[in-house]
Amino acid sequence: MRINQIMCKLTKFLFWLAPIKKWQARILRGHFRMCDSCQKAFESDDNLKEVLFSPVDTTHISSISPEVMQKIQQNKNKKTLQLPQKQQRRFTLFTRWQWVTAMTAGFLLVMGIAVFHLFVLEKQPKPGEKLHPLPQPTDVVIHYVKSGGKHARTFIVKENKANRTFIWFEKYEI
Amino acid sequence: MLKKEKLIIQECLKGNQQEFEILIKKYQPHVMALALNILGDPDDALDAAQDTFAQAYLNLHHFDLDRNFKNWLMGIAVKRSLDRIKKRKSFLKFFNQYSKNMELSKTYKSYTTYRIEESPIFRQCIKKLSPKERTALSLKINEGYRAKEIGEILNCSENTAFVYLFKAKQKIKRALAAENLGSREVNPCE
Repeated sequence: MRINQIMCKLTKFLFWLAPIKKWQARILRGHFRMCDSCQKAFESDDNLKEVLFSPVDTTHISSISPEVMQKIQQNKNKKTLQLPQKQQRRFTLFTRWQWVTAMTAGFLLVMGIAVFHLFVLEKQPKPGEKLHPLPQPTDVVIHYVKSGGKHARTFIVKENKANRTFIWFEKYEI
Repeated sequence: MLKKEKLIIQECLKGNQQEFEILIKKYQPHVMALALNILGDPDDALDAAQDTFAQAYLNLHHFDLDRNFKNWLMGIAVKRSLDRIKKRKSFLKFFNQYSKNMELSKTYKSYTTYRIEESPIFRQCIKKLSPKERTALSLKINEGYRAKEIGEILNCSENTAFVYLFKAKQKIKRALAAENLGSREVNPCE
């Protein structure tokens, strides 16, 4: 009995948690197959007849056929009361999985906006913002020389703004 | 469908309007009860019922004689009633906006606060249901329809109709318990 009660409460919790009516119905039907008391409670219509209007409650209303006939005459040539042509219900991605599709599309949209913000907008300078100074170009000259029958090379590196010149001399084997 | 009904519809299709009155007489209480349960207002329900029969007559040529006429009629009644709710909501929205800018008499102002859910003839527990839940419950209790048939009338799946029914019953039971009118039996699942 105790386990039954726990199962009933769990079913109820899962029912409210399930986002799609199809899942909700599946959860309920699965539980009803196992739990007789819930099945009976769902099937019973006790007290419900009292709260609703039944056809018997409306028998005192006089016949509406004169008004209906009048409306028919009025609307015979109009299209106000024409039924739309019934279309076959198509179960596509957008009708059957509306909720899931919408959630996925929303998630992807949010992710797209976040990526755009992080990687594209962040790199662009905002108005008034100073750009990081790029390293100044330097002049590099490499000389290959032969001294005393041996090969060597010289690097002359001159930084344009710093007024400094580095000279590097090293052995070079071919 | 009954043979007699089939013959009546065939007569109506030939242009014999008087035959249609037999169908009106037969189904008026059912349509009225459904409209009343959805709308909660007798005048609106009467209008919706009249529209339902007029629409049914004007579209009889679309009706498939192998189908159940009552189910088809109930489907139209549901649509007309739900349309009426939508129209009233949009009218109230417009009216509220209009009344903000204009000086209106108290009677008009009190009308703007009227909602179907606030209808005085509805019992407290019915007010808590959505129109579709009220429809599903009314079709189940008054007409004895199953979830599949309710789904066809509401133009939704059987599962959706089943969930509407379950939610409606849960809400009513909870409301009745709150009103202290519900049954004293304690269901372990409650």
